[in-house]
Amino acid sequence: MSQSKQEVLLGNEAIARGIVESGCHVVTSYPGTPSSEILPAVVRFKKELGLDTHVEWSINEKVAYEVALAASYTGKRAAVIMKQVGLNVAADPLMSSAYTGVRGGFVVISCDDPGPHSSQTEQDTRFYALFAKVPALDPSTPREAKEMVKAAFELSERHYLPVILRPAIRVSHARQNIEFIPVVKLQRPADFQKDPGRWAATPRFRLQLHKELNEKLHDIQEEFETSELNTSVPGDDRRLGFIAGGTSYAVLRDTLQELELEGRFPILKIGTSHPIPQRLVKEFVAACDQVLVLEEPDAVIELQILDKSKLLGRLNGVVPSAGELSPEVIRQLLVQQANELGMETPTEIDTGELSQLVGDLGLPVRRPRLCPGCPHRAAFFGMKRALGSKAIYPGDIGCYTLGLNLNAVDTCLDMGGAVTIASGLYQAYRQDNRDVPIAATIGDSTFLHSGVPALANAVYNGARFVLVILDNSTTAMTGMQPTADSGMLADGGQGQRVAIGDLVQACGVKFIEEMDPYRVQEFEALIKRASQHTREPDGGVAVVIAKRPCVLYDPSPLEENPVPVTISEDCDGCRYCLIAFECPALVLDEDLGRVVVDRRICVNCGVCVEACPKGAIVEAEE
Amino acid sequence: MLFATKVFSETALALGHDVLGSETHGMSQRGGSVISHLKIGSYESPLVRHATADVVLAFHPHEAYRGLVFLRRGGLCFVSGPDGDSWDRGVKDYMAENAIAAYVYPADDVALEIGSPRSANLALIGYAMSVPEMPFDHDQIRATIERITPSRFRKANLEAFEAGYRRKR
Repeated sequence: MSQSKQEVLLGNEAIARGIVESGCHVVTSYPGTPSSEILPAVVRFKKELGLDTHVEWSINEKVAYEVALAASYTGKRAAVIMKQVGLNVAADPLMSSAYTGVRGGFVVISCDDPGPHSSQTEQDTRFYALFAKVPALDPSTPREAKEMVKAAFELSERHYLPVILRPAIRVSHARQNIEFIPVVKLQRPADFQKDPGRWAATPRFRLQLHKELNEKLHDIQEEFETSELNTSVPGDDRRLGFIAGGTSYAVLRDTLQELELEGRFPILKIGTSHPIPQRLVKEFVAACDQVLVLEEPDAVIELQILDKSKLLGRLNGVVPSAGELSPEVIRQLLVQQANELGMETPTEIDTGELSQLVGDLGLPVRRPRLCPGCPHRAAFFGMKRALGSKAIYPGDIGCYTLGLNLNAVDTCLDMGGAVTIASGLYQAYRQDNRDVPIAATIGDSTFLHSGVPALANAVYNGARFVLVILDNSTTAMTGMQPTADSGMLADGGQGQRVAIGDLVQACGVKFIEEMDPYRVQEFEALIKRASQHTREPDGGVAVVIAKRPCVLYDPSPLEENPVPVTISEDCDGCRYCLIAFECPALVLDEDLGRVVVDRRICVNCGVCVEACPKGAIVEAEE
Repeated sequence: MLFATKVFSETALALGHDVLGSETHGMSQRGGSVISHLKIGSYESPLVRHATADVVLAFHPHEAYRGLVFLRRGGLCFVSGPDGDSWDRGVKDYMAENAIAAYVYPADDVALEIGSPRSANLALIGYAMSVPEMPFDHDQIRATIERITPSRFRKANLEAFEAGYRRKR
């Protein structure tokens, strides 16, 4: 045989490879940046290798967690994958399963997003490990992430505990050449052994389980004292040492090299963020004058270190307490420390001057925008025309949060938050006998994730508002994962469809109508009727399902029925369409003093014909 | 953009180098600026720090202005943009002071002329490969493009690459 196969993989694909090479039997997930590419890569390897791995996109993270956990109850290996805020949703089973323990290896993969780049918080998954009293492993590179998946399964099976793997975005979305190890099938017939004192433990047994958990955690800490997951880099200059984990360790290593300080100061790399190897850390700290702690997004290792007198970190303000520890930030920290020790560092170009110059150019800021032809834009535009700016527009998590740009999203809290915020707003205004129109928007996948209980609650408690479910047939923001409404399964197979309209009806909603939002005038009229329903004596929540596939997911309807537009001489460059409609394909030509269509990106949806109050955007003649 | 990165990372891997890079997904993909980092050799972190990059490829003049901050002294910048000297005066001085060489090439127009506007990135790569300071050579990059392009785009991508390499309008 030639040398083993290598491939340049995304960190998330490397994690998937680790899952498959560990013989994992059941893998569940709910998509969310930066975790979304793991499950599809598991599907890829499953197909390539002809494995019978059960993979599923679950309805939400709590559900995903529990489905995978049950597989572990039977002795199989299982993994559940989510983004960091997804673990909030799955926090309930996480806490409880730490007490009950597991049987087959059970790995919880929760990807963090320091920055944040694509999340509502910069929260640190590793705090959940402390909270739930379970171990957490923190990889620095895709290659290490793959190895840590295997270590996590083994650790989980040695101690019968869930193990958290916490890759940060710079691991998940890094690319690196990864070696493939042949996959050996792990025979584990499902064998659930009844043990009510554990799997159905009442509070009386829970105290015992808590004591057991403490013992497990103690044993794990002992194991971590000598684990290969924690490594050190020697250095003779003990005036400064580094304790670092995850991405920060990787950036530290590269930056030390660039500053010609490689090998000078000792480094302790902590791969086991919880529990940290206390003795190892204590010895390391004792040997140094000062220790800079580098980790992100929060001070999880630092907080666990008992004697903090020599530490430089987030707790004493040396390391910034928000935002990513980018290479630029870490370089600045290192240069500062080196200078304090009286050391010179190599000079570099001063990019501050350049940043100033480029800033002064006033280049257009390319903020994220809905795509040309996006059906959400049409829906938001119709809603705004129907209800105006006095109405309150609770929004939700997905591409359609960008309705913000059209002033059609006033709140964005969390998954399902549109429905609950709309309910709460209604109750608050109703108390004062005030009638303020409320029109909430939520995507199809988000509605299924946590909108359903929120809607049942709204109906039950008599809330009144318009709920527009933006059904584009897919989970677009995170890369087109199928939804339960489509019935398509994670591996491409056909499952049983769960129709959104049926769920809405089952929640007790009396006004349910579905329409293609591209029909702007009719859609506007529908929103008005829906709003009227919320005011009628026997009215209530009105649900409008705005149904049209995402143009990236399914461009075929537009290819079959294109509506090319042209802009007539009547355009006076008033910018109304640019502000109220904000399609990237409509641009102001400064020289002509009017709007033109960028043909390279226009998808011929024709909706913008409605967006000009002067009627200057017209359908092109054949 | 991701494909352009892949061309270089796959070439490096084929020649036995380690590669490590970083890319953008999620919300930032919806029309914002997208930056892809690539480091070839022995590295731990996938991010290229400001003032350390050897080469920046910018697929729009605005992105060149934003990307320049990554270049080291003596670095190279290849920009897809209209012919002619349209650099901001101050930025031009900055590049001169720091021995940064910037090459502008109308890759979009070239790709449009050969009937495959989506291959503009390959035209810019081809153009960059005509500069001797670039890592790898023409044949190595061409072989990667042949290998990794889906068959229906292969002819167009190779044509754009060659047009750029020969600096043809």
